[in-house]
Amino acid sequence: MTTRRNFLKGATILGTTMAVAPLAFADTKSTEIPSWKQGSPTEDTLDTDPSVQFVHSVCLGCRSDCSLRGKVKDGIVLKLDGNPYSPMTLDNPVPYATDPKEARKVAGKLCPRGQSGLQLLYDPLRVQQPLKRAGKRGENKWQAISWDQAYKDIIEGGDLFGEGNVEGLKVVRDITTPIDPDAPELGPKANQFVFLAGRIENARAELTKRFINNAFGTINWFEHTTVCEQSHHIASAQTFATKNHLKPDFENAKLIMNFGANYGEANFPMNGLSRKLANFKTKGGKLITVDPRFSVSASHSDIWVPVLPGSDAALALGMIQWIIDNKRYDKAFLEAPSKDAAAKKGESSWSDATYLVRTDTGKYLRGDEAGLGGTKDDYVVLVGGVPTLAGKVDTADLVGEATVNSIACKTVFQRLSERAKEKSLDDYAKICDIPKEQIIRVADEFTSYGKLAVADFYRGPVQHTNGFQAGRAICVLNLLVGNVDHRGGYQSGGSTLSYMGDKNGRYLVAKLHPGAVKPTGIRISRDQAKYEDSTEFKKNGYPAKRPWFPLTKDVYQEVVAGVVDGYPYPCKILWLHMGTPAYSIPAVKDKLIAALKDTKKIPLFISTDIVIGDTSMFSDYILPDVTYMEQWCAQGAGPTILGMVAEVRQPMTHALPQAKSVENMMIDIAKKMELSGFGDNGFGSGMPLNKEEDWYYKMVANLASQSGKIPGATEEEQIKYILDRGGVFDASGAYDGLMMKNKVANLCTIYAEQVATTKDAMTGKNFDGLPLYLPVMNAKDQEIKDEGYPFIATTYKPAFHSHSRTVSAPWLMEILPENFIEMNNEEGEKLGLKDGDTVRVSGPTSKEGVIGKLRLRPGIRPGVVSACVGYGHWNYGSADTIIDGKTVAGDKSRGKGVNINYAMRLDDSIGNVCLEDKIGGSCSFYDSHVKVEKA
Amino acid sequence: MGKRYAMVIDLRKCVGCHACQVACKSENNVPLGVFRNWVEELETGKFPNVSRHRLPRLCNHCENPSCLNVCPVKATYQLEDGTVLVDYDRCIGCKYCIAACPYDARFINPERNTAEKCTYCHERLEVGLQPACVNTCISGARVFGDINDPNSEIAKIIATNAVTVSKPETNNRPQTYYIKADEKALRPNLLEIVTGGEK
Amino acid sequence: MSTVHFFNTPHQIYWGLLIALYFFYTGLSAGSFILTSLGTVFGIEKYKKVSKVGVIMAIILLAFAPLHLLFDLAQPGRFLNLFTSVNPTSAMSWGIYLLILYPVVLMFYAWYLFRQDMVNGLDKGGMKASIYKFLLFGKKDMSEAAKANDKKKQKIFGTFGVPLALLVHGYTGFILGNVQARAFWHTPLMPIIFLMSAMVSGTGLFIIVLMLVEKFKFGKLGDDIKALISDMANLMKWFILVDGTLMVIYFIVLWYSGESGYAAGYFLLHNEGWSFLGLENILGLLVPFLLMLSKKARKNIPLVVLSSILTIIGVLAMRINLVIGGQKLPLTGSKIIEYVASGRDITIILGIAVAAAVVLTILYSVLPMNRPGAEEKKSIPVSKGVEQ
Ligand SMILES: Nc1nc2c(c(=O)[nH]1)N[C@H]1C(S)=C(S)[C@@H](COP(=O)(O)OP(=O)(O)OC[C@H]3O[C@@H](n4cnc5c(=O)[nH]c(N)nc54)[C@H](O)[C@@H]3O)O[C@H]1N2
Ligand SMILES: Nc1nc2c(c(=O)[nH]1)N[C@H]1C(S)=C(S)[C@@H](COP(=O)(O)OP(=O)(O)OC[C@H]3O[C@@H](n4cnc5c(=O)[nH]c(N)nc54)[C@H](O)[C@@H]3O)O[C@H]1N2
Ligand code: SF4
Ligand code: SF4
Ligand code: SF4
Ligand code: SF4
Ligand code: SF4
Ligand SMILES: [Mo]
Repeated sequence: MTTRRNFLKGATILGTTMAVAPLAFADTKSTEIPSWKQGSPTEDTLDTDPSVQFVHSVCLGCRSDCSLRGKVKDGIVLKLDGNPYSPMTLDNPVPYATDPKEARKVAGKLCPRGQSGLQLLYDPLRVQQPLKRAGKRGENKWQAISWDQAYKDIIEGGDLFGEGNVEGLKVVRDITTPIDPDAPELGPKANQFVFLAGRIENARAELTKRFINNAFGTINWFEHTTVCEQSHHIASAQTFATKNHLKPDFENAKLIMNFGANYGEANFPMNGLSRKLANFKTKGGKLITVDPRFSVSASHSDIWVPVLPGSDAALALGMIQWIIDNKRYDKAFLEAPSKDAAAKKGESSWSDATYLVRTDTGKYLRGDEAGLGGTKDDYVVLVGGVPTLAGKVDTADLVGEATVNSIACKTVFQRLSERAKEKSLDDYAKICDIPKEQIIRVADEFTSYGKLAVADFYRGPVQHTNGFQAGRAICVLNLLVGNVDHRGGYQSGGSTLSYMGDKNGRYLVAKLHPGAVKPTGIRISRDQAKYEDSTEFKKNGYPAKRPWFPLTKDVYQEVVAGVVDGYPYPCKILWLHMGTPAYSIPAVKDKLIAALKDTKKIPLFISTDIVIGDTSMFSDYILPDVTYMEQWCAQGAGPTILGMVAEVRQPMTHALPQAKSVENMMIDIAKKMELSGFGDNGFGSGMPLNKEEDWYYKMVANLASQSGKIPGATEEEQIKYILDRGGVFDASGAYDGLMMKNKVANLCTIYAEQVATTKDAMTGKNFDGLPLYLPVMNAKDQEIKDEGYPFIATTYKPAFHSHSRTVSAPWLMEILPENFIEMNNEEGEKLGLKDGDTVRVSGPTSKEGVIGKLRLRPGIRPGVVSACVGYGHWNYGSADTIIDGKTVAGDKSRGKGVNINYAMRLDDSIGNVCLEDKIGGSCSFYDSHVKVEKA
Repeated sequence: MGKRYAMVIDLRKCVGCHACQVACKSENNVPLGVFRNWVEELETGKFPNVSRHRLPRLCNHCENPSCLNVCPVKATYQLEDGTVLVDYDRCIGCKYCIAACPYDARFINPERNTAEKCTYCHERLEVGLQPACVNTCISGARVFGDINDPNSEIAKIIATNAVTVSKPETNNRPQTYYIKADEKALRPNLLEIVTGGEK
Repeated sequence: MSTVHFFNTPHQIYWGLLIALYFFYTGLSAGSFILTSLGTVFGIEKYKKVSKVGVIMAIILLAFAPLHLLFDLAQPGRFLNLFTSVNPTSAMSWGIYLLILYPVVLMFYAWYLFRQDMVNGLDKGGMKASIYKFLLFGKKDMSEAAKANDKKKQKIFGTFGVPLALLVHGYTGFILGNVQARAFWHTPLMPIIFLMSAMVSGTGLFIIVLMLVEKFKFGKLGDDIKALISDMANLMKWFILVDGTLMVIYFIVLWYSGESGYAAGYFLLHNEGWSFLGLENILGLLVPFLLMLSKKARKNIPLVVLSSILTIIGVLAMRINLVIGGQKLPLTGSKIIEYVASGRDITIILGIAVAAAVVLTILYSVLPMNRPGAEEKKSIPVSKGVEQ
């Protein structure tokens, strides 16, 4: 009874049940896969076994996308490891030229989720055939149907559920008639088809956009980043010349001040970053962690700063104040007003610290306005108080105000120090609820290592109503020590190759789209658009019905809220792909589910999923997608990883014959609907796009042509060479002298002019261009106090779970079968609570709240409760399911624990959405006040 | 001196991710509910002076293994290189070794119905691969090798760092060496456990 | 200052009731044998009366004891491996050989005890006669020389039997005592404690069995037996005294033997209080001891029976507390390990108990139990009461 036989049997049993989907769902114990999943007594086939094959690919256990290698025998994936060619999984990967036969002797590293991928792939509760709802939405009653019927229903529509006529894709695809003739700016009817992705990655994203935007012609293609860390990206981009993600150079930094980034448990890439953190510490690096929770990062830190959630901006501004008062900033860097001036000081980037800003318009004073004979592209600075064009001098005054050409102005630095001084250090300390001395101490430490000190941050500070500004305050700390682009500083990471073929690629894939439609109109989330341009504004003025988001994009929670409110227009067809808004977005669960059940609000609701998900269970159709081990994709690495990474995900196997990648689904539908850009001449005459490989081979070919170093006489040989290694890698060449090779090399802005000159649709007031601290506020800028709710609810990611996606992995669930509501032990005891008590966490908009087990620990600051993500499912296989009349028992272990999101606060000033950051667009995860009682 | 395999776990590096635990399950098909390798973690202190301590555990491949001494049928044996193994075809499943191991390192494999424990991934070692847990350890905390070879990484680490073992007072002479392990993590606090924290 | 453990990796208790019962049975066997060998081996006349009852009981209990072990094996089919290798460092390994040797010796001993009566039984004819005929293997010689030889051999095998009995039970004490990982078990007292408690429970059970045998075989308890019983009750008192003293010493040493020892002691007193103090020591030792202090009580059969039953319960509790309790304290992690007896185990235990009782009844009724001062009545229908 070897694993192998055992397992192959399992596989074939599954194979044969495939024809009859319901059986394939039969109780987990009845197929062989669980017995394999349980593990079996014999050791696995060794990597050196010549009969096993290795497939190099990319993990998606989480968005870290570590390079992956699957051990495959007879079509069965036996074990997952890291791809040894990739700097993502090894500090010293094997040289790229190494023969794969040699490389198999080395394996890269994977985190526990990466190791468990097999259990998601062979999950017996995967959706194995298209499902059509047999009962009401959400009853979890289904009928297994063929792909042909699924396509026909979705495209043609009709009386699909005996509930009256439903418009299909064909009818809704009208790219000429406006939705609302009185508000033509909203765009054509086609926009009423909304595609909402949760997790969707590079190359997969482009193909779906090709279908949604440029073939079907709706403007409503979305992914989920606002529920993730969007305000971090927007804050970074507004500071570092559109670069939205920088990281410390862990190898050479001497001090890292970590604002709410979950090193060692999460962050990007969780796997490689943990290693960099360990090396950083053993090399004697100093670590300061700002986090209300004693995180893994905090536990490895020299200083833990347990701020109250939402106070990072106050901490950073306090530090800025101290740094300015004590002249601890990098004067030389800040004084350089231009590229050339910076270059003379050995800098590649420069700042706007010396630039003059108009007091009236809030814009930079430009050369043409200053009467100094400059153009509108010139900035103006003061030299010894005298206005001068920035380009003409090597150093300019940091502090100063002047009236130039009768325009009152101040330097950015001047305004920053005024801003930082609006509150005293004691005030800041009170806001953060930490000792003032600690602010001083960390400011002192932070400025004691020159350019080798970095302030890093992630979700913690930014997933707040004031997230963008908090993020900006932290970015500015980096500008004050002038560490940008420096070896050991804040840097924009390694390089990659463009799979889309932009810059000299062999195939400019985006352009290879004859008859492409250019979608028009307002996105249902009202992002990248100005309220002021809308008919609604002309009619009603301020405030708008719901916020608009001119400075960000893909506002996940507002797509959903927009659909629910039918604002700015009703949605007719919703396609949810690999997303679970009801689970992952704070507070919205009940309102959202009610709306999803309402066939008036959403006449047709389609999901692509691998399981019956917590949200997809409410849809009319669930189309079985493939897992990341059966998928394609192409992308680079996060900035933590230096060197060059252009990795390719490719299928290791196809566990379920009936499952189909979303790429292939869209190709099929486009062809059936005869939409442009797909089919025999999809890329142009004689260039077919009939299957996903047609798409991805082009991308791989682009990597080859851009790298220029790939051996092989023909394109096919080069593609094979790359696929055999899972991409193109080069760990070397990260540095160029004392600088990073990859640079921002641009104007970095303490003052965000674009933000300062953009209006808030809810108030008509301008946003603030300088970092500032604000209390928690709703969309109407009313402060939220919520007296009587003494705790702030927060959340975090444990090393062994990914969002909603890992409950189906028993190896991970046995680490911690049920999560906890974590609270400070002394505080809990004061409330008469005991570790292990069952408690209810509820809030002003979530009276019933969530119920879970209490964990009292010293490592949670008072006034805060926290619960890690991954638990608290109502489905994802935990619920009993009826398919073709047969009941499939749910796996109850998947329903354990709590998801604290459900206890978080709705913004009742606009209803049906969580608190949000109107600039960055982020959902607020750490601002909700709650109370905790014994249940 | 002959080979002597051992493992070092550097707790200055360990992030408590449990990858070692899961990799072992996957590589060795260890059933659910039993563990060749697991990670303990405790948090202690009084806010804001808190510390967290991790302790990945696995068989110590002891110099003087209780498990081997008590096995009535010699199903547990030790190789020249120190690896302690179970002969799955000989083990009668009397569980004496399980009762005798001071480290909870053993269990009955519910599918094979014999005693089982960490093998140092013996099959992998034989073909020149590292143990699965060491291989995947994302922080690089786990180092495996021959401590009798002065040039080996592990020998160098042990030579240049203070290391501790779990329960040195047992006469087992365990061979899993920890760097910066916390006393509280190395052994259960029995007093606290039996008194329910009063003592 | 507080400490929280984030994860609770499950570990099970692998040695449960079956092992405890195994120790219990071997104890009963050794105890009853040593007691009844007082006659033949140590020449205390009045005990000659009961050697037969004792030896049969010892053999059967020991024959059934290892079944518990066998059923506890995860690979019962491989039990033969136990004989194909010796591990001198494993108490369990040498125990196996004792488990063979001891009953063999006892059987020879028994054979010489029963030989003459079996020869006499031959002429009575019937089914019994043919059984005797078979068991005698033709050794029908009733010459004085032969009779003398019987006596001699009884003495020899009996004398062998005693140390074996001590070993066979002592070794089970070593099984636990040698485990240095567990303060609970790791004490040189363990083998002696096992022996003394064996004497206590062995005596207890023997008193009860003896009374049953006498009633069924000879219709009534002869005064000589009554006298003997109160005599044994008296011995039991002393056994309890020694056993109790050992328990006290064990506990005191445990209490002062470092953290894990102290914790184990604390655990016994508090967490396991009712079973350790209540069942094992108060009900199982103290109460019978106090009862048997009084001469009058020792002459009062019901009271003696009660005390005997209490000692048996007490010693059973002691085996369970030691074997299972000893594994409840974790070696790693932070949680007390809970034990739940499986239905399977309980069924097996009851099954074995019943089987042992049945076999005993049969043997007692088939074998000639004549003893100095009591002749078996003619053809007593097996197990069908006694006509007065
Ligand atoms: N294990 C694991 N790793 C992952 C993922 C996963 O699902 N699991 N997902 C990946 C994805 S998609 C993302 S976006 C990244 C997220 O990477 P991170 O943002 O680094 O991870 P989170 O756990 O979301 O971080 C939240 C942290 O902020 C702290 N925090 C809460 N409120 C505040 C506050 O007001 N101020 C400060 N300073 N800190 C606060 C929390 O205690 C927690 O430690 O992780 C990636 N890596
Ligand atoms: N409490 C709490 N909530 C959080 C976070 C947190 O730290 N704590 N983190 C937030 C962050 S950073 C993020 S990025 C979001 C992520 O939130 P989302 O992107 O909404 O959700 P995911 O958990 O990535 O997976 C969404 C769903 O996709 C389906 N699915 C799983 N695998 C596949 C697949 O291979 N193909 C397809 N088609 N579908 C699949 C399942 O139904 C799954 O529930 O969660 C956010 N929510
Ligand atoms: S961090 Fe873990 S789960 Fe995420 S991609 Fe890397 S290996 Fe996969
Ligand atoms: S740790 Fe336990 S199992 Fe491993 S060798 Fe030592 S005694 Fe044996
Ligand atoms: S369980 Fe197996 S290995 Fe352990 S002692 Fe018994 S026979 Fe030996
Ligand atoms: S060495 Fe191998 S068997 Fe031992 S714990 Fe590590 S992975 Fe498991
Ligand atoms: S894999 Fe390494 S870092 Fe992760 S828990 Fe195990 S030892 Fe610690
Ligand atoms: Mo995210």
